[in-house]
Amino acid sequence: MILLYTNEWLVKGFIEGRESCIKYMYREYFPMVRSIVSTRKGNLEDAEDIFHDGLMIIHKRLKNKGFILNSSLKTYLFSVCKNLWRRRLERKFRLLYAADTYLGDADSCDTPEDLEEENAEKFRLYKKHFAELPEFCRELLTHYIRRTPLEDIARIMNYKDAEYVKARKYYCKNLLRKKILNDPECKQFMNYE
Amino acid sequence: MNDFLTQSHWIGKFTDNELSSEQETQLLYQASQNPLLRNELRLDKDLTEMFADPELIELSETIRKTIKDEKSKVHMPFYLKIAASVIILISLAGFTGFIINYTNQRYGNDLLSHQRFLKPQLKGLWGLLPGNMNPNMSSTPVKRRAIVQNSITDNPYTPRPEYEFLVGTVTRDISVMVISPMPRVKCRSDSLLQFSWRWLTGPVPLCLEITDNHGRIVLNYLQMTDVSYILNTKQWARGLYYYKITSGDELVTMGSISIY
Repeated sequence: MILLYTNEWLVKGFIEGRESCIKYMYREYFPMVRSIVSTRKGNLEDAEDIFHDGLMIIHKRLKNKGFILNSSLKTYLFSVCKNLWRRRLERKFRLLYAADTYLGDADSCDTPEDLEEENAEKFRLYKKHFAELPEFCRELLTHYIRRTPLEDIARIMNYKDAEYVKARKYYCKNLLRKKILNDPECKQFMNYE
Repeated sequence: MNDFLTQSHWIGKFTDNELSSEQETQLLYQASQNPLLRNELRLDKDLTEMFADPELIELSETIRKTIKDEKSKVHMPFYLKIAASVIILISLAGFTGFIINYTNQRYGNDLLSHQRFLKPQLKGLWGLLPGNMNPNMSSTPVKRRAIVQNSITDNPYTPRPEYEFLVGTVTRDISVMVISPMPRVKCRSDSLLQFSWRWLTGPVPLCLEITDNHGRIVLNYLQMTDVSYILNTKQWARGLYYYKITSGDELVTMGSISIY
Protein backbone atom coordinates (compact mmCIF):
# COMPACT_ATOMS: atom_id res chain seq x y z
CA MET A 1 0.00 0.00 0.00
CA ILE A 2 1.30 3.48 -0.89
CA LEU A 3 0.80 6.06 1.84
CA LEU A 4 0.81 9.76 1.23
CA TYR A 5 3.14 11.77 3.43
CA THR A 6 3.12 15.46 4.03
CA ASN A 7 6.44 17.21 3.74
CA GLU A 8 6.73 17.62 7.54
CA TRP A 9 6.01 13.96 8.23
CA LEU A 10 8.44 12.90 5.57
CA VAL A 11 11.21 15.11 6.95
CA LYS A 12 10.57 13.88 10.48
CA GLY A 13 10.49 10.23 9.42
CA PHE A 14 13.60 10.63 7.31
CA ILE A 15 15.58 12.19 10.16
CA GLU A 16 14.57 9.20 12.29
CA GLY A 17 15.70 6.92 9.45
CA ARG A 18 12.30 5.25 8.99
CA GLU A 19 12.36 2.67 6.23
CA SER A 20 8.80 3.45 5.13
CA CYS A 21 9.77 7.08 4.47
CA ILE A 22 12.83 6.06 2.48
CA LYS A 23 10.68 3.65 0.48
CA TYR A 24 8.19 6.39 -0.21
CA MET A 25 10.98 8.76 -1.27
CA TYR A 26 12.41 6.12 -3.56
CA ARG A 27 9.05 5.53 -5.23
CA GLU A 28 8.17 9.18 -5.56
CA TYR A 29 11.51 10.90 -6.07
CA PHE A 30 13.81 8.35 -7.66
CA PRO A 31 12.29 8.75 -11.18
CA MET A 32 13.17 12.44 -10.94
CA VAL A 33 16.80 11.65 -10.00
CA ARG A 34 16.99 9.03 -12.73
CA SER A 35 15.84 11.56 -15.28
CA ILE A 36 18.49 14.08 -14.10
CA VAL A 37 21.21 11.47 -14.50
CA SER A 38 19.99 9.75 -17.63
CA THR A 39 19.59 12.98 -19.56
CA ARG A 40 23.19 13.87 -18.72
CA LYS A 41 25.13 10.81 -19.82
CA GLY A 42 24.46 8.65 -16.77
CA ASN A 43 23.05 5.17 -16.28
CA LEU A 44 20.80 3.53 -13.70
CA GLU A 45 23.66 2.68 -11.35
CA ASP A 46 24.85 6.27 -11.41
CA ALA A 47 21.31 7.39 -10.61
CA GLU A 48 21.15 5.03 -7.63
CA ASP A 49 24.49 6.29 -6.34
CA ILE A 50 23.40 9.90 -6.73
CA PHE A 51 20.11 9.17 -4.99
CA HIS A 52 21.96 7.48 -2.12
CA ASP A 53 24.50 10.28 -1.76
CA GLY A 54 21.80 12.94 -2.05
CA LEU A 55 19.82 11.39 0.79
CA MET A 56 22.91 11.06 2.94
CA ILE A 57 23.76 14.73 2.45
CA ILE A 58 20.21 15.87 3.17
CA HIS A 59 20.04 13.67 6.26
CA LYS A 60 23.22 15.22 7.59
CA ARG A 61 21.97 18.75 6.89
CA LEU A 62 18.53 18.10 8.38
CA LYS A 63 20.13 16.83 11.58
CA ASN A 64 22.00 20.08 11.88
CA LYS A 65 19.95 22.27 14.27
CA GLY A 66 20.76 25.50 12.44
CA PHE A 67 19.51 24.21 9.10
CA ILE A 68 16.10 25.43 7.89
CA LEU A 69 14.45 23.71 4.97
CA ASN A 70 12.68 26.43 2.99
CA SER A 71 11.40 24.26 0.14
CA SER A 72 9.80 20.86 -0.16
CA LEU A 73 12.01 17.83 0.32
CA LYS A 74 11.50 16.87 -3.29
CA THR A 75 12.73 20.24 -4.59
CA TYR A 76 15.69 20.16 -2.23
CA LEU A 77 16.62 16.62 -3.24
CA PHE A 78 16.35 17.66 -6.87
CA SER A 79 18.81 20.52 -6.43
CA VAL A 80 21.24 18.44 -4.34
CA CYS A 81 21.22 15.56 -6.81
CA LYS A 82 21.57 17.87 -9.77
CA ASN A 83 24.63 19.54 -8.20
CA LEU A 84 26.09 16.20 -7.22
CA TRP A 85 25.80 14.81 -10.71
CA ARG A 86 27.16 17.99 -12.30
CA ARG A 87 30.22 17.89 -10.04
CA ARG A 88 30.75 14.22 -10.68
CA LEU A 89 30.56 14.76 -14.42
CA GLU A 90 32.97 17.67 -14.20
CA ARG A 91 35.45 15.50 -12.36
CA LYS A 92 35.11 12.73 -14.93
CA PHE A 93 35.59 15.12 -17.83
CA ARG A 94 38.56 16.76 -16.23
CA LEU A 95 40.20 13.35 -15.88
CA LEU A 96 39.33 12.35 -19.41
CA TYR A 97 40.05 15.47 -21.43
CA ALA A 98 42.36 17.57 -19.31
CA ALA A 99 44.56 15.16 -17.45
CA ASP A 100 47.29 17.73 -17.31
CA THR A 101 45.07 20.24 -15.53
CA TYR A 102 45.63 20.61 -11.83
CA LEU A 103 43.00 18.45 -10.11
CA GLY A 104 42.67 20.41 -6.94
CA ASP A 105 41.61 23.63 -8.60
CA ALA A 106 39.82 26.38 -6.78
CA ASP A 107 36.22 25.52 -7.67
CA SER A 108 36.39 21.83 -6.80
CA CYS A 109 36.05 22.05 -3.03
CA ASP A 110 35.49 25.61 -2.01
CA THR A 111 32.32 25.53 0.09
CA PRO A 112 31.17 23.36 3.01
CA GLU A 113 28.44 22.01 0.72
CA ASP A 114 31.06 20.83 -1.74
CA LEU A 115 32.94 19.07 1.03
CA GLU A 116 29.75 17.43 2.21
CA GLU A 117 29.02 16.18 -1.27
CA GLU A 118 32.49 14.79 -1.65
CA ASN A 119 32.33 13.16 1.75
CA ALA A 120 29.06 11.50 0.82
CA GLU A 121 30.67 9.97 -2.22
CA LYS A 122 33.67 8.84 -0.22
CA PHE A 123 31.38 7.33 2.36
CA ARG A 124 29.51 5.35 -0.29
CA LEU A 125 32.72 3.99 -1.75
CA TYR A 126 34.07 3.06 1.67
CA LYS A 127 30.84 1.26 2.41
CA LYS A 128 31.06 -0.58 -0.89
CA HIS A 129 34.54 -1.86 -0.07
CA PHE A 130 33.54 -2.59 3.48
CA ALA A 131 30.85 -4.93 2.13
CA GLU A 132 33.50 -6.75 0.09
CA LEU A 133 35.69 -7.54 3.11
CA PRO A 134 35.93 -11.13 4.41
CA GLU A 135 33.16 -12.18 6.77
CA PHE A 136 35.26 -12.12 9.95
CA CYS A 137 36.52 -8.61 9.13
CA ARG A 138 33.03 -7.28 8.58
CA GLU A 139 31.85 -8.84 11.81
CA LEU A 140 34.79 -7.52 13.77
CA LEU A 141 34.54 -3.99 12.37
CA THR A 142 30.76 -3.96 12.89
CA HIS A 143 31.34 -4.71 16.57
CA TYR A 144 33.96 -2.01 16.62
CA ILE A 145 31.55 0.50 15.01
CA ARG A 146 28.93 -0.37 17.63
CA ARG A 147 31.54 0.33 20.27
CA THR A 148 31.40 -3.14 21.74
CA PRO A 149 34.21 -3.51 24.33
CA LEU A 150 37.23 -5.41 23.02
CA GLU A 151 36.87 -8.09 25.71
CA ASP A 152 33.31 -8.74 24.60
CA ILE A 153 34.35 -8.92 20.95
CA ALA A 154 37.01 -11.47 21.93
CA ARG A 155 34.39 -13.54 23.72
CA ILE A 156 31.84 -13.31 20.89
CA MET A 157 34.34 -14.12 18.15
CA ASN A 158 36.28 -16.74 20.12
CA TYR A 159 39.54 -14.78 20.10
CA LYS A 160 42.27 -15.20 22.65
CA ASP A 161 42.16 -11.73 24.23
CA ALA A 162 41.55 -8.02 23.63
CA GLU A 163 45.07 -7.55 22.27
CA TYR A 164 44.45 -10.09 19.57
CA VAL A 165 41.16 -8.36 18.71
CA LYS A 166 43.09 -5.11 18.30
CA ALA A 167 45.61 -6.80 16.04
CA ARG A 168 42.80 -8.26 13.91
CA LYS A 169 41.11 -4.88 13.76
CA TYR A 170 44.29 -3.24 12.45
CA TYR A 171 44.67 -6.01 9.94
CA CYS A 172 41.08 -5.57 8.72
CA LYS A 173 41.37 -1.81 8.49
CA ASN A 174 44.61 -2.26 6.61
CA LEU A 175 42.83 -4.59 4.18
CA LEU A 176 40.05 -2.05 3.72
CA ARG A 177 42.53 0.76 3.05
CA LYS A 178 44.31 -1.31 0.43
CA LYS A 179 41.03 -2.08 -1.32
CA ILE A 180 40.03 1.57 -1.35
CA LEU A 181 43.40 2.81 -2.56
CA ASN A 182 43.45 0.28 -5.40
CA ASP A 183 40.00 1.29 -6.63
CA PRO A 184 40.22 3.59 -9.72
CA GLU A 185 36.91 5.18 -8.78
CA CYS A 186 38.38 6.25 -5.44
CA LYS A 187 41.45 7.68 -7.11
CA GLN A 188 39.17 10.12 -8.97
CA PHE A 189 38.46 12.14 -5.90
CA MET A 190 41.11 11.12 -3.38
CA ASN A 191 43.35 13.99 -4.31
CA TYR A 192 45.15 14.08 -1.00
CA GLU A 193 48.46 14.63 -2.72
CA MET B 1 60.26 1.18 5.57
CA ASN B 2 57.17 2.05 3.64
CA ASP B 3 56.26 -1.61 3.21
CA PHE B 4 56.98 -2.23 6.81
CA LEU B 5 54.73 0.60 7.90
CA THR B 6 51.84 -0.20 5.63
CA GLN B 7 51.93 -3.87 6.49
CA SER B 8 52.18 -3.29 10.16
CA HIS B 9 49.56 -1.87 12.46
CA TRP B 10 51.31 1.42 13.01
CA ILE B 11 48.80 3.41 11.01
CA GLY B 12 45.88 2.08 13.01
CA LYS B 13 47.73 2.55 16.25
CA PHE B 14 48.60 6.12 15.25
CA THR B 15 44.92 6.93 14.68
CA ASP B 16 44.02 5.31 18.00
CA ASN B 17 46.84 7.23 19.76
CA GLU B 18 48.45 4.03 20.85
CA LEU B 19 51.95 4.64 19.55
CA SER B 20 54.78 5.61 21.84
CA SER B 21 56.27 9.07 21.32
CA GLU B 22 59.33 7.63 19.55
CA GLN B 23 57.21 5.50 17.27
CA GLU B 24 54.98 8.47 16.53
CA THR B 25 57.92 10.70 15.65
CA GLN B 26 59.32 7.98 13.42
CA LEU B 27 56.03 7.51 11.65
CA LEU B 28 55.49 11.22 11.10
CA TYR B 29 58.99 11.55 9.71
CA GLN B 30 58.29 8.70 7.30
CA ALA B 31 55.00 10.29 6.34
CA SER B 32 56.68 13.58 5.51
CA GLN B 33 58.94 11.68 3.08
CA ASN B 34 56.34 9.34 1.63
CA PRO B 35 53.12 10.59 -0.06
CA LEU B 36 51.63 7.07 -0.10
CA LEU B 37 51.94 6.81 3.63
CA ARG B 38 50.36 10.25 4.03
CA ASN B 39 47.44 9.10 1.92
CA GLU B 40 47.04 6.03 4.07
CA LEU B 41 47.10 8.04 7.27
CA ARG B 42 44.38 10.37 5.97
CA LEU B 43 42.30 7.49 4.69
CA ASP B 44 42.58 5.77 8.03
CA LYS B 45 41.41 8.96 9.70
CA ASP B 46 38.45 9.11 7.30
CA LEU B 47 37.57 5.51 8.03
CA THR B 48 37.75 6.09 11.75
CA GLU B 49 35.40 9.05 11.35
CA MET B 50 33.04 6.93 9.30
CA PHE B 51 33.04 4.21 11.93
CA ALA B 52 32.34 6.79 14.60
CA ASP B 53 28.78 7.34 13.32
CA PRO B 54 26.87 4.04 13.36
CA GLU B 55 23.60 5.87 12.68
CA LEU B 56 24.90 7.09 9.35
CA ILE B 57 26.02 3.58 8.42
CA GLU B 58 22.60 2.24 9.36
CA LEU B 59 20.89 4.88 7.23
CA SER B 60 23.14 4.09 4.30
CA GLU B 61 22.34 0.40 4.63
CA THR B 62 18.61 1.15 4.80
CA ILE B 63 18.81 3.26 1.63
CA ARG B 64 20.78 0.57 -0.19
CA LYS B 65 18.38 -2.14 0.98
CA THR B 66 15.38 -0.08 -0.12
CA ILE B 67 16.87 0.52 -3.55
CA LYS B 68 17.65 -3.18 -3.93
CA ASP B 69 14.20 -4.29 -2.76
CA GLU B 70 12.31 -1.80 -4.86
CA LYS B 71 14.43 -2.56 -7.90
CA SER B 72 13.64 -6.25 -7.65
CA LYS B 73 9.91 -5.48 -7.66
CA VAL B 74 8.28 -5.32 -11.04
CA HIS B 75 6.87 -1.85 -11.52
CA MET B 76 4.29 -1.81 -14.23
CA PRO B 77 4.07 1.39 -16.26
CA PHE B 78 0.90 3.40 -15.79
CA TYR B 79 -0.50 2.70 -19.24
CA LEU B 80 -0.01 -1.04 -18.68
CA LYS B 81 -1.89 -0.81 -15.38
CA ILE B 82 -4.82 0.84 -17.18
CA ALA B 83 -4.71 -1.76 -19.94
CA ALA B 84 -4.66 -4.59 -17.39
CA SER B 85 -7.63 -3.03 -15.53
CA VAL B 86 -9.62 -2.74 -18.77
CA ILE B 87 -8.88 -6.36 -19.70
CA ILE B 88 -9.93 -7.57 -16.24
CA LEU B 89 -13.17 -5.55 -16.38
CA ILE B 90 -14.00 -6.86 -19.86
CA SER B 91 -13.30 -10.42 -18.74
CA LEU B 92 -15.51 -10.01 -15.67
CA ALA B 93 -18.31 -8.50 -17.73
CA GLY B 94 -18.03 -11.33 -20.24
CA PHE B 95 -18.06 -13.94 -17.52
CA THR B 96 -21.11 -12.37 -15.87
CA GLY B 97 -22.89 -12.16 -19.22
CA PHE B 98 -22.09 -15.78 -19.90
CA ILE B 99 -23.49 -16.86 -16.53
CA ILE B 100 -26.69 -14.86 -17.05
CA ASN B 101 -27.14 -16.17 -20.55
CA TYR B 102 -26.35 -19.74 -19.61
CA THR B 103 -28.67 -19.66 -16.59
CA ASN B 104 -31.57 -18.31 -18.67
CA GLN B 105 -30.98 -20.81 -21.43
CA ARG B 106 -30.70 -23.74 -19.08
CA TYR B 107 -33.86 -22.97 -17.21
CA GLY B 108 -35.68 -22.01 -20.38
CA ASN B 109 -34.63 -25.15 -22.21
CA ASP B 110 -35.51 -27.33 -19.27
CA LEU B 111 -38.97 -25.85 -19.06
CA LEU B 112 -39.67 -25.80 -22.75
CA SER B 113 -38.45 -29.32 -23.36
CA HIS B 114 -40.98 -30.72 -20.93
CA GLN B 115 -43.88 -28.33 -21.17
CA ARG B 116 -44.12 -26.00 -24.09
CA PHE B 117 -46.85 -23.96 -22.42
CA LEU B 118 -44.60 -22.95 -19.57
CA LYS B 119 -42.90 -19.63 -19.89
CA PRO B 120 -39.36 -19.33 -18.46
CA GLN B 121 -39.28 -16.41 -16.07
CA LEU B 122 -35.92 -16.71 -14.31
CA LYS B 123 -33.98 -13.51 -14.76
CA GLY B 124 -30.36 -14.60 -14.69
CA LEU B 125 -28.55 -14.34 -11.40
CA TRP B 126 -31.13 -11.95 -10.00
CA GLY B 127 -33.72 -14.68 -10.16
CA LEU B 128 -31.83 -16.48 -7.45
CA LEU B 129 -32.30 -13.66 -4.95
CA PRO B 130 -34.73 -14.40 -2.11
CA GLY B 131 -36.82 -11.34 -2.97
CA ASN B 132 -37.78 -12.88 -6.27
CA MET B 133 -39.00 -16.11 -4.78
CA ASN B 134 -42.29 -14.83 -3.48
CA PRO B 135 -44.63 -16.65 -5.91
CA ASN B 136 -44.66 -19.62 -3.58
CA MET B 137 -44.75 -17.75 -0.29
CA SER B 138 -48.07 -19.09 0.91
CA SER B 139 -46.61 -22.59 0.97
CA THR B 140 -45.43 -22.63 4.55
CA PRO B 141 -42.56 -24.85 5.72
CA VAL B 142 -44.95 -26.84 7.87
CA LYS B 143 -47.12 -27.63 4.87
CA ARG B 144 -44.16 -28.54 2.73
CA ARG B 145 -42.73 -30.71 5.46
CA ALA B 146 -46.07 -32.48 5.77
CA ILE B 147 -46.16 -33.07 2.05
CA VAL B 148 -42.67 -34.47 2.05
CA GLN B 149 -43.47 -36.64 5.05
CA ASN B 150 -46.55 -38.06 3.39
CA SER B 151 -44.86 -38.52 0.08
CA ILE B 152 -42.52 -40.98 1.70
CA THR B 153 -45.37 -43.25 2.74
CA ASP B 154 -47.96 -42.55 0.02
CA ASN B 155 -47.53 -42.70 -3.71
CA PRO B 156 -47.46 -39.06 -4.69
CA TYR B 157 -48.43 -39.71 -8.30
CA THR B 158 -51.65 -41.67 -7.76
CA PRO B 159 -54.44 -39.76 -9.50
CA ARG B 160 -57.47 -38.69 -7.46
CA PRO B 161 -60.59 -39.82 -9.34
CA GLU B 162 -62.94 -37.10 -8.04
CA TYR B 163 -60.61 -34.42 -9.41
CA GLU B 164 -59.35 -36.30 -12.43
CA PHE B 165 -62.65 -36.23 -14.31
CA LEU B 166 -62.85 -32.45 -13.94
CA VAL B 167 -59.37 -31.76 -15.31
CA GLY B 168 -59.45 -29.74 -18.50
CA THR B 169 -63.13 -29.99 -19.07
CA VAL B 170 -64.65 -27.47 -16.74
CA THR B 171 -65.05 -23.81 -17.61
CA ARG B 172 -68.23 -22.59 -16.07
CA ASP B 173 -67.53 -18.88 -15.92
CA ILE B 174 -67.27 -17.52 -19.44
CA SER B 175 -66.17 -14.07 -18.24
CA VAL B 176 -62.60 -15.42 -17.67
CA MET B 177 -60.46 -17.11 -20.31
CA VAL B 178 -57.49 -19.08 -18.92
CA ILE B 179 -54.51 -18.94 -21.28
CA SER B 180 -51.94 -20.93 -19.38
CA PRO B 181 -51.13 -23.47 -18.09
CA MET B 182 -52.66 -26.26 -20.03
CA PRO B 183 -54.91 -28.63 -18.08
CA ARG B 184 -52.20 -31.24 -17.70
CA VAL B 185 -48.79 -29.86 -16.88
CA LYS B 186 -45.63 -31.83 -16.30
CA CYS B 187 -42.64 -29.99 -14.97
CA ARG B 188 -39.49 -30.25 -12.92
CA SER B 189 -39.40 -29.39 -9.25
CA ASP B 190 -37.35 -26.27 -9.90
CA SER B 191 -39.65 -24.78 -12.54
CA LEU B 192 -41.59 -21.58 -12.72
CA LEU B 193 -45.15 -22.11 -13.78
CA GLN B 194 -47.11 -19.25 -15.18
CA PHE B 195 -50.81 -18.91 -14.68
CA SER B 196 -52.34 -16.32 -16.99
CA TRP B 197 -55.84 -15.39 -17.99
CA ARG B 198 -57.86 -12.59 -19.54
CA TRP B 199 -61.12 -11.12 -18.38
CA LEU B 200 -63.64 -10.77 -21.12
CA THR B 201 -66.01 -8.35 -19.46
CA GLY B 202 -64.09 -6.76 -16.65
CA PRO B 203 -61.67 -7.67 -13.85
CA VAL B 204 -63.09 -10.11 -11.37
CA PRO B 205 -61.03 -11.31 -8.38
CA LEU B 206 -59.89 -14.87 -8.87
CA CYS B 207 -58.76 -17.53 -6.45
CA LEU B 208 -56.11 -20.15 -7.09
CA GLU B 209 -56.10 -23.28 -4.99
CA ILE B 210 -53.62 -26.11 -5.33
CA THR B 211 -54.04 -29.44 -3.63
CA ASP B 212 -51.98 -32.58 -3.69
CA ASN B 213 -53.30 -35.92 -4.85
CA HIS B 214 -54.63 -36.60 -1.34
CA GLY B 215 -56.75 -33.49 -1.33
CA ARG B 216 -54.59 -31.48 1.07
CA ILE B 217 -54.44 -27.80 0.24
CA VAL B 218 -50.89 -26.82 -0.62
CA LEU B 219 -51.53 -23.26 -1.79
CA ASN B 220 -54.52 -21.02 -1.55
CA TYR B 221 -54.05 -17.70 -3.25
CA LEU B 222 -56.95 -15.33 -3.05
CA GLN B 223 -58.08 -12.17 -4.76
CA MET B 224 -55.84 -12.23 -7.76
CA THR B 225 -56.42 -9.04 -9.69
CA ASP B 226 -53.42 -9.30 -12.05
CA VAL B 227 -53.60 -11.12 -15.34
CA SER B 228 -50.88 -13.57 -14.38
CA TYR B 229 -49.39 -15.41 -11.45
CA ILE B 230 -46.04 -17.18 -11.32
CA LEU B 231 -45.73 -20.29 -9.26
CA ASN B 232 -42.28 -21.39 -8.20
CA THR B 233 -42.16 -25.13 -7.65
CA LYS B 234 -38.59 -25.14 -6.45
CA GLN B 235 -39.34 -26.17 -2.89
CA TRP B 236 -42.23 -28.45 -3.70
CA ALA B 237 -42.12 -32.18 -3.23
CA ARG B 238 -42.40 -34.32 -6.30
CA GLY B 239 -45.86 -35.64 -7.05
CA LEU B 240 -49.22 -34.94 -8.59
CA TYR B 241 -51.05 -31.73 -7.75
CA TYR B 242 -54.39 -30.30 -8.82
CA TYR B 243 -54.99 -26.63 -9.36
CA LYS B 244 -58.36 -24.97 -9.28
CA ILE B 245 -59.12 -21.42 -10.39
CA THR B 246 -62.37 -20.06 -9.09
CA SER B 247 -64.18 -16.79 -9.42
CA GLY B 248 -66.33 -16.30 -6.37
CA ASP B 249 -68.37 -19.50 -6.06
CA GLU B 250 -67.90 -20.52 -9.67
CA LEU B 251 -65.18 -22.80 -10.91
CA VAL B 252 -63.27 -21.37 -13.88
CA THR B 253 -60.98 -24.23 -14.65
CA MET B 254 -59.17 -27.15 -13.12
CA GLY B 255 -55.95 -28.91 -14.08
CA SER B 256 -53.18 -31.16 -12.85
CA ILE B 257 -49.52 -30.45 -12.31
CA SER B 258 -47.14 -33.35 -12.24
CA ILE B 259 -43.86 -32.41 -10.63
CA TYR B 260 -41.02 -34.84 -11.14
